[in-house]
Amino acid sequence: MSVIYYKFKAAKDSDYDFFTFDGAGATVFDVKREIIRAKKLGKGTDFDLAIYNAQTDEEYKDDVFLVPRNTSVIVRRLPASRPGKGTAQRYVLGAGPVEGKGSGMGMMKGNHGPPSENRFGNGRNMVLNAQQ
Amino acid sequence: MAGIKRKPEVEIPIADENDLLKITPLGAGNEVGRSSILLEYKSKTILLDAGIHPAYNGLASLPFFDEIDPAKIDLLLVTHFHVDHAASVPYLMERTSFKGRVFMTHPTKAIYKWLLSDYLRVSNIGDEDELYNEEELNTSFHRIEAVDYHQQVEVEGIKFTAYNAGHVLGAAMFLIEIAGVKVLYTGDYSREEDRHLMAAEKPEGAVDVLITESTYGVQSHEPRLTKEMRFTSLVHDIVTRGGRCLMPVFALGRAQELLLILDEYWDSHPELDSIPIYYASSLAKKCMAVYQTYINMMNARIRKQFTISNPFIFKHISNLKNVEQFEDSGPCVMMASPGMLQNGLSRELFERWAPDKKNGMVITGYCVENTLARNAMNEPADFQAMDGRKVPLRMSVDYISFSAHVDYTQNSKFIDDVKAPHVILVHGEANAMYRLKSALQSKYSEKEENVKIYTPKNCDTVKLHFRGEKMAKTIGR
Ligand SMILES: [Zn+2]
Ligand SMILES: [Zn+2]
Repeated sequence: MSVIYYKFKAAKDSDYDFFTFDGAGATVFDVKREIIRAKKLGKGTDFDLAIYNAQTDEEYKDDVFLVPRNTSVIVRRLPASRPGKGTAQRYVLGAGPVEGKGSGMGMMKGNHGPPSENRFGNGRNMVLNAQQ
Repeated sequence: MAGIKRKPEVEIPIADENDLLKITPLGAGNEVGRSSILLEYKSKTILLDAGIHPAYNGLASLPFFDEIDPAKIDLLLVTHFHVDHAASVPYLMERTSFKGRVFMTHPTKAIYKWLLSDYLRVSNIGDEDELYNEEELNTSFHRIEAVDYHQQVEVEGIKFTAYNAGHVLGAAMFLIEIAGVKVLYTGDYSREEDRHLMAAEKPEGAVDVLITESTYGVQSHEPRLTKEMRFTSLVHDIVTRGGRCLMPVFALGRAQELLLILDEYWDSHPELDSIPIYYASSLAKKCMAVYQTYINMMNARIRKQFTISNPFIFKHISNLKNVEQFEDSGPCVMMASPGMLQNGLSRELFERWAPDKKNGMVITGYCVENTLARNAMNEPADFQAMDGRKVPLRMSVDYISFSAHVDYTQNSKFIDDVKAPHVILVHGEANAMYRLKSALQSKYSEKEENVKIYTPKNCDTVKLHFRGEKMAKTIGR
């Protein structure tokens, strides 16, 4: 089982959440979609969502890029560059990345409802211990 | 700008970033909701309000806090207890690196706690998206410092004073002074006295930057007496046709004004005696004590009434603690929160009563875009219930605004009186804000006065350069 840790930029450093999946990594697309789902961020029409590597501050821009497991990710919610047209809705509507291969998160594909098994971490206050 | 040669706006090289006064709305920029405005000058950082957006839930309803480093904020000033100004205070204090000091007036603080615990109870769907819990709310409450109107406080070189804003009990404007530069933030305000509150005051002295609300843009309010008459006769009509009259309200604030009006009306109309008025709020009792405590902060009229009997002990109004207590058996008047039908009791009753055309809903407060109450004002044929059902909307829907915000006349007069060379509009939908901006601009260009009006979007920064004590230049916008 693989894990990715994430927290919103403004949240305390001790406030990492995480989610689990199978595989070596998860695509940026799936990471964003999972965060929006888990944090109930809604339709995503009014904001853009950016994610960064917590160690390097580098932004993960490419939706098909594979974020390696055990990575800690910083999430930033910012105003939609065009009102009502927030890019975050792309991840909610789930058109999918253009070349979404090898995400390793098959369980999430097209699954908009709650996961059938309790495979997602549901605790807050996860201590950051990503060993990279 | 074809053919017009514009002087570049930046003329003076900025020697020191420190001389820039930066104002950035993290919320309430071109919108109503999640008020939160960041003020930076001379290495001091002040946050004005920390609210939530009523049309969204959970983290999505927060101001854009990810854009700032909360640890850098020296001071958080909260203007009043409404959720769009105060509901993210506990989040900021308990779940981010924020370690500054927090101030609000005594009544705001007293009501803050009750109101937010009610907000938590009603809005929480699950643990995952709760912004904070009851315990964190309590912890935050104990760290908040209370101030009186006109009491000047100094925190690390920042001076600030609260003034009466006339919006709800305890609502304040803040006048902030850093290194000789004065910024006045109105919060929500009203310049009209009503049944229990005094009108907002205008602080003495010169102000360099005015940050003002623009909720009603260039609209004018109807005179108070006509409005009250229209309101009472509407309610009268609904109940005498055998209908239930639903009034979704913010649990506190304007609700008290409406209760005063209805109680008086029922008093002078004995034929309505058998028709109950309910005020469904678990907060009502707790907060009434606060209202009674701070009667001295209200207007002369209500203070005078108080010498005879307590005007907040209503004759014709019964408090409902929960729905189970309520026997839905005929015409009645029901005031229930929340005010925009987001969830909770007002939503439940709206869904129940909407299909019957005898019933009527009276919306009395400002409703934010994308909320059900706002949509209902367009009287659609049906709407979606909480459980996904389609419910036909046949009850009458009327809007009579009692919200204590300035209209165009009041706002532009106040802006005139304050005489600040820089005016920043917040807390208004884009359209209302732009109309107000152009109305003000044409007024000042006619008078050949040099007043700059800004309407920054969320996370856009207005930068003003202050040389010495008074001179300011706009940079780059
Ligand atoms: Zn308000
Ligand atoms: Zn407001």
